[in-house]
Amino acid sequence: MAINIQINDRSARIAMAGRFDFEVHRDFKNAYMPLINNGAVREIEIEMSKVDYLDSAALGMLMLLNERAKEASKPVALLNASNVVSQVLEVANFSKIFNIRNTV
Amino acid sequence: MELVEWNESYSVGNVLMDAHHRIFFETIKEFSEFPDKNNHEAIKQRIEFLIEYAAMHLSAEEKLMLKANYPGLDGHKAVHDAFVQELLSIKESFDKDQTSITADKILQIMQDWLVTHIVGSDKRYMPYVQKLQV
Repeated sequence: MAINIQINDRSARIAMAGRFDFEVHRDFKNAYMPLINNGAVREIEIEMSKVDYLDSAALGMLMLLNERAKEASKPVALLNASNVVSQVLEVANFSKIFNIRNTV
Repeated sequence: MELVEWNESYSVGNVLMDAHHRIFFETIKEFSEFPDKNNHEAIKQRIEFLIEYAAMHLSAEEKLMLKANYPGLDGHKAVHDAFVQELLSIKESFDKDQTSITADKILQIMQDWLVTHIVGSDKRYMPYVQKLQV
């Protein structure tokens, strides 16, 4: 799993690829914590187009991010999830909790 | 261990709390299926993650109860605090001596607490939280 971070203006994008599972929990947290603490970042986007697998721990990791971002008044968006990943997000009711959108 | 799956009977009338609970159950299940139960470091990381997740969830739930003016908040929060303390104490014992408790036993304690707590305590804030969403 490669994690790539880009900051464009007021929005930060974390691009995930491959298996998004418990094995990346530390790297994922290390990727988003500086963005939560960065006053210039107003929104955090998780780019998921290259994610081919998402486990329950990853859903928990996204919830942890969401609560921490909420405390810093920063919305979290989940971008470009594949059909397989979208189904997992849908079953977990994430469409009612996160901003889920396609940009491509 | 006997695993519990979230179903509508566990709903507390709030989308976020229901999603939190469901992920809690499913992550316990996922970790219970981890094949290398003798890998102390791997088990330790999973326990730490579940404690972090539990603390996040309980804090979010307390904020929701406060927003909904739930009169039982103080007592409910005390139960949460006691659970987090229990988990930290279990983790401390496990860190010192991995034979003190099995990974499955820790997961079982978490799952049992969650079931009892949802049914016995969380359901009581349901009418207050539902009013909030109307």
